[in-house]
Amino acid sequence: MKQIYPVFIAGVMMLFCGLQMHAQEFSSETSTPTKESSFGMAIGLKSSSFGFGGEIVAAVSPRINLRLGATYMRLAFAYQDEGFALDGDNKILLGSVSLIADWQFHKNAYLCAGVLHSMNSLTLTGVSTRTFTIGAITVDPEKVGSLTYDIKADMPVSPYLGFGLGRNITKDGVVGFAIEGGVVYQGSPKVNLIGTGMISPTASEQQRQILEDNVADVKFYPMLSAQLTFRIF
Amino acid sequence: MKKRLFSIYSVIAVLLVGIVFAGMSCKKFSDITEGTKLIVDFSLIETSIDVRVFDAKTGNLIGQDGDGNVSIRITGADKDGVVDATGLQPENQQYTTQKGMLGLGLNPASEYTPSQMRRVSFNIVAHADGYLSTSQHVSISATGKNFVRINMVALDNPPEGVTVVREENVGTLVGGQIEEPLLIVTPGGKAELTIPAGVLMKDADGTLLQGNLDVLLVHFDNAVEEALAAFPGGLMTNATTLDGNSTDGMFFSAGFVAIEIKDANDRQAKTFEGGTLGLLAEVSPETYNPFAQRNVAAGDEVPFWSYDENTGSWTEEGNYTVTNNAGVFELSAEISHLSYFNFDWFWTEFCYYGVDFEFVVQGEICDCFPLQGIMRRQSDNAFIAWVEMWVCQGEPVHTFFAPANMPVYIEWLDNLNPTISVDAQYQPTYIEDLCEDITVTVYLTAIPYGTTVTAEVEVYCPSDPDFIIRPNFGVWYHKSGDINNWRYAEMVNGFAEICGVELGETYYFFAYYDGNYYYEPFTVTEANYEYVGFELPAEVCDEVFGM
Repeated sequence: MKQIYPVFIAGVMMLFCGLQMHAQEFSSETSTPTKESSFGMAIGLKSSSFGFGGEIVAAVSPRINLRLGATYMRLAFAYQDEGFALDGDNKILLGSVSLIADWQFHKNAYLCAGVLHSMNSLTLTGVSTRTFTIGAITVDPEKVGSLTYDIKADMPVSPYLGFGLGRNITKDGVVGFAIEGGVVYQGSPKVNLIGTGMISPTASEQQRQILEDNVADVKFYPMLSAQLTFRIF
Repeated sequence: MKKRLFSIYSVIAVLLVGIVFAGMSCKKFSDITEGTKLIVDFSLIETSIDVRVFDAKTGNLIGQDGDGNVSIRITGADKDGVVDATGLQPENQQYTTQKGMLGLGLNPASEYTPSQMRRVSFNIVAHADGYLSTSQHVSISATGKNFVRINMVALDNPPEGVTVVREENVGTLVGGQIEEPLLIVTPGGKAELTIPAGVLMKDADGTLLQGNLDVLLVHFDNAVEEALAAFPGGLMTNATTLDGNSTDGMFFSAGFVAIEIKDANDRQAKTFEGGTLGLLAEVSPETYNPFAQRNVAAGDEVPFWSYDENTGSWTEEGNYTVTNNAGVFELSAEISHLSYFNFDWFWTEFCYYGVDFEFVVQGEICDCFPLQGIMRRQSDNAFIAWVEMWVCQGEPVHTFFAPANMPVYIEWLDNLNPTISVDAQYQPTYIEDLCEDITVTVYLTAIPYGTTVTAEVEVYCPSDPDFIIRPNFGVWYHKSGDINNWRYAEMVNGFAEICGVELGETYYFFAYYDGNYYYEPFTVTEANYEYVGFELPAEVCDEVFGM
């Protein structure tokens, strides 16, 4: 959790700065109102490859938006690992806390960049499917034990670069919509490996390193998202 | 201009996304485990029983020079739970020692997992050519490592306190009946067997014996420790009393007699009709009567027991009175069947889970080690049992099946580990009641000796090279030319640490497996050995690992 705090604090500070800046602009605007205000704020619902969540969007200039968001989702599924001969219920956790800046270079397109704390992890827990019969002894899968390996991003804060169509905060109306694609650089994932029972030696450091090497190239995670926003002022 | 800019940015963004997805698709999740192996700690046996059978006179393992093995049969309540060290269970629970040793274990199935609430008990019955058959009652109340020592009496070289007489071609049986009375007496007159004329002799199948007889009479003097230590069936045993109850307990021996009668056709007499045989046994005046809490005296009643050598259990036959014949205490009994017999008081106060021992080692010691001792009664210094404990630093050693309300002491032996000595103040260690809920602390001192050698082993079967086995087994070893000083080491999860090894020396290592054994010399030249990636023969994989 400690890793999330810097993102939150940075986001809050940036939003606060944006609000302060706009407040000054707004006060001047009240004396000489103009049609186009550079400041606006919206809240959004988001569905993304990091799960479901929401964002607070602040338009700090006509072309620049700042977004502070969070997403979360858990998935459980049955998984069979032929390599380890394991059967089990496994979980994928998707989640992020993000602070992203948009450059609305076109009325319906923008480039975005920011930082993101990824909570994504893949946890696979299973028991052996093997049963041994040795002479008078039957070793059932429970005694054989279980193996758990989880894979998650190693970097506490990851850079993000993306491209979007639409607007995260509508220019004139209330409802905005945007779809976005991009990549998050997470670095090589870290693998934890835990074994119990007879197969506990499988969870050796050497084995863990092999698993980590196997996923070392997966340094980027795709971001695909769709967002519906509501301008609140 | 704006449109062109949009197009450029769009292309860049799409390319970026495309590159990322292309990169990810090269690494499927199914490839995550590529190159890994399933490594198994092959610790099937949670409770092991290492059996060693010694010649009571020489102290050598029977067959250690390849000159004969001991046939072992498991009997008793939980016999079906006993397997060999690799988990195999031969037909009729019949095993054979190799070099006097046998590795057994308990099936780890829940019904045979020993605990304070579920003791597992059985008998180890031993037969060997030229030796008196014997047995050892085993009771285990926790998982772990156990050692059983069995002493057998060689009929042509008995230990002190055991006298043997063999009379060959004596008497004549006609129609199964002996024509003239026979009197067989052991050397020194410790025991006499009288066979009156007219007695009809039958074997176990009811067939009449014929012709001349070979008679064997063996007497064990309960006042001699060597004889007590070889007492067939052991002194801590299981017995069926006159009321028909089968119970565990401890014998206070007043003497033991073994009788064997065979005819010319090698038929062994089992039952008699038309009369009984007379047995007379001398009783040592040093014999302790536990119920009177003094040495034996004329007029004392002593229960009389017969032994079933097939099951290793005792049955009470009756009570006989000690007489004083010209200053010699004697017991006489009438017998109608042949067996081993003993005159013993049976102490039924016991516990299946007694005191815990805590061993505190002063100094550096590697791994666990066996510690051996002899337990004796404080009251009369009589031998009770061999004690062999598997000592691991910081772990308690449990006591199973111990006599209650009986002060004892343990005299520790240091023959199994040259790197350990018992501190003088604990030699011997006195215990007032083995069944108290206490911990007995014993201080040991580590003796710097030799080198600690480590070995790491990983093997695999040709049928599945990605299935790696890290074995668990115990191994006996001795230095070349020093076969009487066996030491013990254990490999756990493919790793062993052996203390006190002399580099440059050759050691013989012995491991038992499915009726076979490996007894190979190995010259130790370095402190660390690694045997990783060894392919096992397919037949071993099939039999031992089920692969």
